[in-house]
Amino acid sequence: MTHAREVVALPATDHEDDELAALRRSWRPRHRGLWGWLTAVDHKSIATRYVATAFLWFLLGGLNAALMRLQLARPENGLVGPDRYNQLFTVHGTAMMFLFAVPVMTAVGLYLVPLMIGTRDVAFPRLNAFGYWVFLIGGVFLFVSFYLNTGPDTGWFAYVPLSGPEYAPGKRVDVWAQLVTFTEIAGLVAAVEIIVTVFKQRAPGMSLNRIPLYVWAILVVSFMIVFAMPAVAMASTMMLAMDRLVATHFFNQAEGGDPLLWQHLFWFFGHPEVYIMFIPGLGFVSSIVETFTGRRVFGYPVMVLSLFITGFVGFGLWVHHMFATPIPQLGRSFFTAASVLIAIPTGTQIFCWIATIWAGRPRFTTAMLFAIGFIVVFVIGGVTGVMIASVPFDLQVHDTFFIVAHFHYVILGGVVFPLFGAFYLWFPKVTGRMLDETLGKWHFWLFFVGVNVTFFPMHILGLNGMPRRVYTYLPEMGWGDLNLLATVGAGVIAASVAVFLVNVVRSAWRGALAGPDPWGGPTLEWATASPPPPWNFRHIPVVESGSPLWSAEAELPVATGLRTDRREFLVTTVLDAVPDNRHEHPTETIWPFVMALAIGVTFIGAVFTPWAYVVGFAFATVAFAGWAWPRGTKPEERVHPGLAREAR
Amino acid sequence: MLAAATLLALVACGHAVEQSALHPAGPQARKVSDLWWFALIVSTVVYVVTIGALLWAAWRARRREHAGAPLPPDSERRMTRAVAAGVGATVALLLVFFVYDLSVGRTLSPPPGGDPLTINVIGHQWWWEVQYPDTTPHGRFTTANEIHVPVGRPVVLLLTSTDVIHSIWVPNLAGKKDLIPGYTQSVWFQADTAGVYRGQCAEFCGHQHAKMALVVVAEPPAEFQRWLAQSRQPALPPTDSVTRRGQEVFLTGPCVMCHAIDGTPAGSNVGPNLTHLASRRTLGAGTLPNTRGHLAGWIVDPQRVKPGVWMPPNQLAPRDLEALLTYLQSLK
Amino acid sequence: MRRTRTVLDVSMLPDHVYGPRDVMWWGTLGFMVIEGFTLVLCAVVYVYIGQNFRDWPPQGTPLPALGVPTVQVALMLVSVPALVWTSRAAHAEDAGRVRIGLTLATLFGAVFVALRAVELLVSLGVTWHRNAYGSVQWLVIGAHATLLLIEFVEVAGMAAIFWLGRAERKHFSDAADLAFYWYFMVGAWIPLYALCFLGPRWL
Ligand code: HEA
Ligand code: HEA
Ligand code: HEC
Ligand code: CUA
Ligand SMILES: [Cu+2]
Repeated sequence: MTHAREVVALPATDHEDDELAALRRSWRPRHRGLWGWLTAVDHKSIATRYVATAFLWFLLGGLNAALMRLQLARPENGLVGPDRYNQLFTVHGTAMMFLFAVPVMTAVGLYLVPLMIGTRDVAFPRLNAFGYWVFLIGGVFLFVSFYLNTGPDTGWFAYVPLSGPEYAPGKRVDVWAQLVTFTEIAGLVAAVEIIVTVFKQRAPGMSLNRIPLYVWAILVVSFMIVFAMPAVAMASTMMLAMDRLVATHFFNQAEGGDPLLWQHLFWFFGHPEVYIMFIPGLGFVSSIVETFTGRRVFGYPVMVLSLFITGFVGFGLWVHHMFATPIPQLGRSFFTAASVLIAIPTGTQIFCWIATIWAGRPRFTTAMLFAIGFIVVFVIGGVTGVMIASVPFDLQVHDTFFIVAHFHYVILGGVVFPLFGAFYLWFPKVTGRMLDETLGKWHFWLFFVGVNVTFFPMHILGLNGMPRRVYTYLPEMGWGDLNLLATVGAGVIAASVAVFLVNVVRSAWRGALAGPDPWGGPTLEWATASPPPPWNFRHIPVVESGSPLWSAEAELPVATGLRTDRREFLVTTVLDAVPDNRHEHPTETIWPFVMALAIGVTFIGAVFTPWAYVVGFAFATVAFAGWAWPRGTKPEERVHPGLAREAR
Repeated sequence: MLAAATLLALVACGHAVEQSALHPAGPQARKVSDLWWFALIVSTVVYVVTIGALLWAAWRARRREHAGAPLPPDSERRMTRAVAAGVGATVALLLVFFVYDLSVGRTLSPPPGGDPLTINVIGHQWWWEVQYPDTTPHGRFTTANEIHVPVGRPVVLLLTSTDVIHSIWVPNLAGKKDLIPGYTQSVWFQADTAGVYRGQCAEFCGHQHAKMALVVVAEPPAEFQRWLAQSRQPALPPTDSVTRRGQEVFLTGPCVMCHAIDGTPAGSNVGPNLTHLASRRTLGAGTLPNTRGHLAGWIVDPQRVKPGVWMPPNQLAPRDLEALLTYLQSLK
Repeated sequence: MRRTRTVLDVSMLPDHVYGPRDVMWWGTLGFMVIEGFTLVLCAVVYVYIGQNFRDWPPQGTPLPALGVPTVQVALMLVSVPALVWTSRAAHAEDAGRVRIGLTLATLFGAVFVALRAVELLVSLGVTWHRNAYGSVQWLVIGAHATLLLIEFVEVAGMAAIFWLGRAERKHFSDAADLAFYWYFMVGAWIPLYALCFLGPRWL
């Protein structure tokens, strides 16, 4: 067994520039143009388009929201009828949850994790590309169906029997069921990527207690994905879709099936899902607070512990979405207790950030404003969450606009505010240019005002009897004014999003140059160029503290010795990140794309016929052969029978 | 801020129709609304303290010079103490809330004592079938979209559905419960003041989920008994030529395929029972006031009122329509 | 950018390792956990649906036949030593033995898939659209059948790579990972076999 050698300061020589040239030769993308785009494997290019795609679904989902708000602005409004409205909110909810909030978080993770832990790429770059293509196909499938008037229309949780074969004939619900399949495949792939990357590729010295809080957050989330998503994938692909396609009876009461089984399976996924989108947001806030107060987040071990507790307890809450169904009293109290409990780790983290701000010297950049806005908005949603954890109170407001208010407060506060903050923090890293701060402040304040004006009135509407998912309401209900106010607020949100888009386009084009480390950040991503080169780090950094860029003196300690004549990354041990072996990184390839097409054919075809599974399996086998078949290896690298290790 | 805004808005919106969790008319809803006000006050305090601390921290620290320098140990200790105090307060408040919640739950969920009135409610896309059971066959009857209850007596609703999941919610009286095909659940409430309380289906159930409402009419016991006696009667036979013609239109037209009028051959329950239609307040499950004009509009084209509803439009000769309307309006 | 100072040289580290030292192994483990948990959920669904029935299988539905499924389980257990042997050969980087082992695995895989078809179509004696009992039997057995199919394709492909002389050193650890996955596949089936084939008799 060989160990990494300790080196005592090596003088820089000319060969370093040869080294750069060699790196450039071996890491340069092999193809250009469209083909280059289809074959890319670099985590940064995959993640960037992943984020952009998810954001596109956010805009389209937001457009749906705007239409819903216009329809609800006046009682008995005739802008859209029930048929269209039902598609609007289903596609809005589905797109926001399955195509925006979760994927955008894993996508940002796929960009940042390798940079923050000091490695050259994720563990399985081709699998990563595959995940993206599957995600893209799923999103296109949903929105094309919607614009062709076959968008799903039974709500984002598609309760049976309403979504079953009897009450939802046609293909709308099948579109939903298969969309879920696509996003779950993509999500699971991303989760495995992130887990293995964090476990095995941390820079030497980055032991558990030196992992950045953001990386902890995304790691916890990846574990949650692994245990949450199979439930919904199974329920939608193997049960709901099959009930509809080949007449199984999982949810058919008459043949021994059970409609409540769907709710249990859905929410066993659905509740963790909301923390899956929220916890990365917590990670963003930690990074932002740390960077802009100039000190490490107070109470690091407590912060990490809180993330774990939230992730773990998050699996014991699902029944709080089902309080109006037949659940024994004792069971309900248990779920109330668990739901209330989860406020403790979240509160703890908020207190720690406040303490950090108190002790540090905050710079009120746009990113920092979004972090503060997060607390101000999210806590409103958090406390209403605790209220509705109470069974008697929830039975009053369940399925009303009070719930709509709760979850938009927590989601916009806990997911979208941190996400926008993250954009301001890391945009310079990704593009090499700064986002404009003046436009940023406009963006922030419009967004802050818009969110409150839109969603605060909904609490009152809910208490005053307005159920959710109604395409209209009678004038005498007295809900008109507050709804109008909410609609105005949605307009303000739209304006702020427009400002943001302008800012992104303008800044990407001619924003101020950022340089490697515009904010003086603590973590490794700031140690490399902006945008980072394909190999991320010329030499793998060696980590000696939790904020390596702050503690390193003038010079950053690094490890050398990775081969430059081929793509290589360093593999370290799980706990202490001791260098252990070198791993070859694959080159560009089209096969992940082909494999994604095979998956696309399978599940889109399965909307129409079960034979799609047979055809799809054959197609996927071909794609798999293409993917796995060794190509371009030199004969001398091959192994032959009779060439056992002893002989060599 | 939270409380102020809420109060303001509550005052601002008058309540022409009684459908609000904040105007309780019975013990169930009252206990919950007390819980709500308690939770609102506690949350407001929590919110103000948390956000106050945040803004103060940000404000105070903005003039500071020593970014990044290690904190002096005593302020590190003070911070630890402050965070611990916050967590401790959170735990304590949550415990109080949880205990309060449990106690409300325990008083509300067991079946009521006394001699409750039991009513069956069956959900349909998009209307409510209401059955008053009785020990004798002629004491039973079925109506729709309107539940009459006596003031001061507990009422138990037995809930189920024949198609998809619905949820019954009359906020002034009690929280909601789902109506699930294949399951029977119950919910109970009691009206302390007479009045008409509107409720609405709360679980998304398809196209006309928005217009699946009902009213609960709480009346003094004597009045309730009168209504009960009246409702048990089959429909009176037509007395004049117009109503006779109207009945004929009904019985020979498509209507019989879906509706029942007790005392006539019409006996289907695809749609609401119309035996005492004229005594009901609304049409189309709480959607329209029950007037002649709306009734005509409904019969001719229910799809205009509730697009997607499971009742087809009807082409009737004007005189037949008039007769039908007169007949239906005679069904007191 | 920061100036750097070299403190570590990693050029002597191996570029080819086995088991938990290798990233591939962790990837395999990740997907095993996902699939394993999916199977657990399938079993939970099975039990949940079972509680809706007074008789299991319901009246008028035959008990599943035990013959073929039991042979299947026995064969699976027999296959394990063959894969252990293959895995050892892979660790020893003996391409000749690995090649034979993978061929054996491919044959086993083909037999498993064929027997699985018989189990579903004949032994079970119920279709998925007969009642919820049938649906859930097909769910559990079918879910595991997907693992069988995928593993079959993978071992066959790996065998081809070795027979056609295209294998590189890294394929030894891939072959070892396939064996690792194989144990999981067999291990997962045993409780599911008990659930689906013995359960209806004993529950
Ligand atoms: C980002 C997503 C997110 C987050 C973080 C949360 C957080 C919480 N949610 Fe929410 N929730 C949703 C998204 C989210 N939720 C969605 C999408 C739905 C609806 C799905 C649908 O039906 O379509 C939903 C629905 C929902 C319900 C079901 C309502 C119903 O349908 O009837 C319940 C019930 O218990 C609930 C509870 C909670 C609780 C207790 C928290 C807690 O985690 C909140 C904890 C945080 C705080 C409490 C604030 C910070 C703490 C302090 C400052 C300390 C001091 C506090 C106190 C002393 C109270 N949520
Ligand atoms: C991540 C989650 C997320 C996000 C961010 C949002 C964002 C918004 N939501 Fe969403 N919402 C849900 C998740 C989310 N929602 C879910 C899960 C449901 C439940 C669905 C169900 O019941 O099944 C729901 C339901 C829901 C309802 C209730 C519908 C009903 O029950 O009848 C309403 C009503 O007002 C609403 C409004 C809004 C608004 C105004 C926004 C705004 O914040 C949106 C802001 C964005 C924009 C306004 C877009 C701006 C676009 C441009 C500026 C340019 C466009 C240009 C191009 C396309 C090029 N949402
Ligand atoms: C195919 C079935 C069908 C036919 C035929 C039909 N109805 Fe209906 N009817 C319904 C259903 C279903 C409803 C409940 C609609 C709702 O509120 O969602 C209804 C509701 C009504 C109501 C309102 C009842 C209430 O309490 O809200 C009236 C009145 C009525 N129908 C009268 C008629 C008359 C008169 C005819 C014949 C000319 C007729 N219906 C034919 C199915 C039918
Ligand atoms: Cu019935 Cu909604
Ligand atoms: Cu939840």
